[in-house]
Amino acid sequence: MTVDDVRPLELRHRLTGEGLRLRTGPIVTNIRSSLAAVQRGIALHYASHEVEPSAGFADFHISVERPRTLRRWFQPQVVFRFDDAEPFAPLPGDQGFPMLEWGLNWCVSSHCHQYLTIHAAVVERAGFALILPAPSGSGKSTLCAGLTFSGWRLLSDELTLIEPESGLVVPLPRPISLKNASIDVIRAFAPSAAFGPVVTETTKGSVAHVRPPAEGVRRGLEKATPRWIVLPRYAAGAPSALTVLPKARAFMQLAENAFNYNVHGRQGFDLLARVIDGCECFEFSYSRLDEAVEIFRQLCDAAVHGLRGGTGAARLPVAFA
Amino acid sequence: MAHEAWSAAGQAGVALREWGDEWVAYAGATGHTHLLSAAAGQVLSEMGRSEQPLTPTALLRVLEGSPSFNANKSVDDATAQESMLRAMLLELARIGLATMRSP
Repeated sequence: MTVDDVRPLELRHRLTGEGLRLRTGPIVTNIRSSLAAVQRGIALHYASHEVEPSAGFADFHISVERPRTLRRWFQPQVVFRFDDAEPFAPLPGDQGFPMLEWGLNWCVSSHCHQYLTIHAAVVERAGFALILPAPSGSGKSTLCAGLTFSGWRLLSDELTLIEPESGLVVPLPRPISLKNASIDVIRAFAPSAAFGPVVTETTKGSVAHVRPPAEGVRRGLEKATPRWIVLPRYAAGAPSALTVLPKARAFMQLAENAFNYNVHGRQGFDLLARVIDGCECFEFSYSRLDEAVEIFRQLCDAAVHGLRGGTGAARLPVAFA
Repeated sequence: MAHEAWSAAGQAGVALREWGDEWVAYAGATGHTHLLSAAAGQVLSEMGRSEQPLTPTALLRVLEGSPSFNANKSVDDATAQESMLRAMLLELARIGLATMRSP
């Protein structure tokens, strides 16, 4: 049963009662919220996600509610609770759904040490994972959204989970978080994408979430083989340019962007080395999303047709000036 | 200095990988990972392979034929080379990748 299969009244009943047990990839989260904006956000953005039985196991128990203070009656705020603890300061009252999303990211990045977790978007095509590690403001989520609505499967727009035993990327398909100018860029690029409301004046500026395509959610347990590591950088007016990144430097970028590299110690080093061995590594600057999407289509096609080896380091035969 | 001998810090505690002309090393003692130049990677690799600690002179001898080490050599004078190597070894020791043993 998916969220879409749950009648609105029943969904509200669960969210205000024992909680909605939502599956995102391998993670089950019990979510509670009496806030209408959060309920609407879950109904919209998680429509295709599986709902687990109430009696089943949940990795996390969280809620997004008004604070238990008089403040709930004036200048209302929202708080994120994790097992009844409040790990973050309250946010303005209209930021309930973004806070849910940021809180879910924190739950996974701080607790799921069965994976090596990298701050990176990741999409899949033909079984190959394209990992996009980058800090906020680099155009990572914009590129991720552009690829997601151009035939790539969304694995995550924020957290790349690598399974130590297999070295595969484990999907965590959740809404794509867009900020500021990238909201209109994706609206124009993918008119069919389902957007939630734009929430302004957050710590990250204006934020809007995009519903992940249902196909990717349905394939939420289907892992992918790391094949490319690309450090994206949006630069206004810049031509699209994909340049080889030396593997040792790509390694350092992954390690620096990993939330729990130190937790894994020597095994984390060996795992990252294995991932790097199997990947082509690039830096990518861009300003036009259509060009970017075409470059990555060619990159994938070349891999599928065996034109490029897993350790290749040559420049791609594509260039946009 | 001639009496110094160097080895990779607690051999099992250092992991080393090479890609092209750059190396990445994991220091088990600190949990930190470092990007190394070709020369530093080669030095650390040689120390890791050796069953005995190596003197700077011995390390220079081992590295003589290494293109990556010689590519970075800007001076011919043997004393200056040894001095450069020693500075590199001290830096590797500082970041937990090498240890010096005095006789």
